[in-house]
Amino acid sequence: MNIVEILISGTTQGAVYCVIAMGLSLVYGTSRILNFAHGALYTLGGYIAWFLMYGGPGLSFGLAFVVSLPLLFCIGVALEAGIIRPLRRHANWQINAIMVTLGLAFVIENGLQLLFGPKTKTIPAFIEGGVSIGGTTVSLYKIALVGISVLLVVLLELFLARTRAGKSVQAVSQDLQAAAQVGINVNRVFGLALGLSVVLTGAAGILLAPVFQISPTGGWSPFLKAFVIVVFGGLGSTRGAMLAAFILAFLEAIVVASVGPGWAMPAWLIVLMIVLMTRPKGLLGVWEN
Amino acid sequence: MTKPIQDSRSRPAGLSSRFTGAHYLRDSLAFLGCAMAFLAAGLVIGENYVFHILILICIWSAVIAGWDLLIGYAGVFNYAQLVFFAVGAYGSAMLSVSGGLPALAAIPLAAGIGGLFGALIAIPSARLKGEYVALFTFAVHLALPSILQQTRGLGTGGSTGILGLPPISLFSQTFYAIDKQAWFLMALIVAVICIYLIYFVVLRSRFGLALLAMRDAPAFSEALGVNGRRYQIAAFAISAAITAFAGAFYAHYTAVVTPRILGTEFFLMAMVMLAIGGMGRFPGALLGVCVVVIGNEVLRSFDSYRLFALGLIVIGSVIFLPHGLGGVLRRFGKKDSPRA
Amino acid sequence: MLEVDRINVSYGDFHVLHDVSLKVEKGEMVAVLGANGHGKSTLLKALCGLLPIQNGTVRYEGSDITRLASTELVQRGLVYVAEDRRLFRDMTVLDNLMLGAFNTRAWKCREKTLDQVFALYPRLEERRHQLCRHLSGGEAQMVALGRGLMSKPHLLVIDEPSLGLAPNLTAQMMETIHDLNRAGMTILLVEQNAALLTGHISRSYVIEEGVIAEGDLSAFGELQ
Repeated sequence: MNIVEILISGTTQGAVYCVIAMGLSLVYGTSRILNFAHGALYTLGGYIAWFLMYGGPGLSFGLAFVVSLPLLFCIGVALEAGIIRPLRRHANWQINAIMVTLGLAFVIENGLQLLFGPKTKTIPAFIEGGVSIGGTTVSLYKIALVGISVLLVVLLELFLARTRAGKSVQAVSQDLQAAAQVGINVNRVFGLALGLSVVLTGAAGILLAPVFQISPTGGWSPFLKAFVIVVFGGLGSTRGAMLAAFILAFLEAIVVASVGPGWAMPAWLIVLMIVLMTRPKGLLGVWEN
Repeated sequence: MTKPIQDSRSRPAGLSSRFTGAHYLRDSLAFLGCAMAFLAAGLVIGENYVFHILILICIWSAVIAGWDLLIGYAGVFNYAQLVFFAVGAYGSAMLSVSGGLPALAAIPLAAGIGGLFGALIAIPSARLKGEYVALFTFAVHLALPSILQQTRGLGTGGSTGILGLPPISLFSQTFYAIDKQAWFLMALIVAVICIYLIYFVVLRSRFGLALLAMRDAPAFSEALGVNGRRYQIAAFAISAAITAFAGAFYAHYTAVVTPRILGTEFFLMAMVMLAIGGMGRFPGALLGVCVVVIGNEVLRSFDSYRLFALGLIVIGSVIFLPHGLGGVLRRFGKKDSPRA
Repeated sequence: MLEVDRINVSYGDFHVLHDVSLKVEKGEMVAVLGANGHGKSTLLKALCGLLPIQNGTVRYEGSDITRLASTELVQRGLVYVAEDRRLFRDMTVLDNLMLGAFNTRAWKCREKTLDQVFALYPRLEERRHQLCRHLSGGEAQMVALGRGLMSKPHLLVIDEPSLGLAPNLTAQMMETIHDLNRAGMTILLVEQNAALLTGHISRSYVIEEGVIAEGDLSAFGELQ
């Protein structure tokens, strides 16, 4: 693999990792919940789109994508209200939240397996063909992937920075008590954050479906990667997460090119260990962990 | 209606007077009595299938007791417990199959390796808080199968695992897996020793009290500083050694080790046991083991729905029984129970 | 306007407030005095929906608000200003003030209220694009009070306004609060420095180890 290929692969992966990691970071930032089902929800996104295209309604890719997003948002809001909020009454809610989201991940994973079978599913890319960059052919789909990912990230940033609801999300993540004090309904913000987070991860699952295949257990590796990115970037810092997503995506591309794809996951783990041992608050970390 | 502001510190359970040394002898005798009753029940039924289930209960009890020590009592969100189990199983398998050691030597050695491995994982974990530990340890769990795959050359056997572990030989007698009664006796002894060590020796010592205090009062653990970190590492090592011991024993019982022990099913089973039993509420976790092992056998006919159902049970029991069976027991145990 | 009838509040197993009752009439400025750790802040937080009340009732503007969450209380004009300011440290002064007007009642007239707050504290207008983490203690207290005013309170509940302020600023702060009261705002505040309140307040209560009694400033002086 040459340098151009590494650059291209790093850019496309980095853009998608950004989307997944920002979703994870958003929920942790507001509600201090590490959502172990984040990867399963990524997979769920892929399956919802697949179902909308081939399972019944027979929609086109674009339409399926657009229809999936509000659906994913509702799923996130319902999960927050249904299984996370009841936990907050008890003193040991943090450990219970880990248990519940991990349980949810397994429910989604096995539920999908029951519904759709263990075999992988594919969604064809909505654009074919490629362009040549520095002697390497890059598929148009990957370029579109980068474009859509960047768009999603920009939209999220604008939402958080410019709207009243977005400000309330930021307020909750900076100071929960103060947010309650000024009259923000923190439960609603938790729901909103999980809803948006599911939209982001689910969208990434749909966008990556034509590149990787969809399988019920396929969510664990994006989840772990997103976690490493969020820790590396600094929990609670969306800018840090963006930076980390690209750094790690390039690193992954280099590892894959030089020692082989089998070492990609161990490499992520090693990065995680190094970060945790040397600079646990990450690149641009806001909080001491 | 719930008021939104909650104390963000996590506190799995109140510091119980049960662990301050009171009723030590009474509780020990009660525990041994239960073990004897368990033994008697097994021998009276005396059926191979029942022996197999009881053996599984014994092995799981040791694992879950080790997990409960960390997650329930020390308040460390460790999710690498099955990694320790796998280290024990693989360690003993490699020592006996490639190294040619007898099972009786390989099992304690594997437990030692497990303890070292536990300490190794504890060193970064002890510097982290809450969810970070959970993720780091769970990441280790998820990465291990691919590491096993990559280190095929070292004798891990990749995805097929290691076959043909030798049975345990004792006093010039060899116990093959077919001899369920003998294995039941051995498993029970292993379980009783492990459980006693954790709940009666470790947790009732000064060391155990320090763990509880660190869990309940984070400020105190900061005051302990370096010592506090050492306590956590030690707790990890003890828990890992005991779990690895159980893993090694299990490996010789089934005579094969595959990466399946790191798969979804085992992990979910372990989680359900803790979720149903309740964390940090002896003997809740052990009750959880019995309920889940037996329930899992009952559910075997619904094979394809089993994992889905297990996941739902985790969610349901955490929401509706936030302190598990252990919490329920305690509420019945004394009228003036602490608030749920 | 506010009637508190024998409320009890606990943190975990620690019972902090025992049958606390108090009353604030419209237009009054009432102080709760007490030393540190005797439950003053707990009382205010419980009244403002930030801590659950185990039993007893709180009535405000004629209705029972004992179990209402802070969101609803702010909407009805019961607004809390915390002793430790509780600003959004990584947001600007302007963002903090605007978030004060988050409830829909205050949101409609936020620009007008903002002008009033800036008229009260011209300093904040100068520093409106500054991040709150870079403010001095005095400025931070201005933002905290300003943010409370942005919520359009009917009853403003202030927790130790003098905490962490330089002595020359505390008198000024109390004067500002008294001015607000003269302009018609009902105020409930807690303070441990009784001397500061002389000449400002209508009535006072003394809280000791979670038990409250009506008293005057001199009585509190004797306690100390």
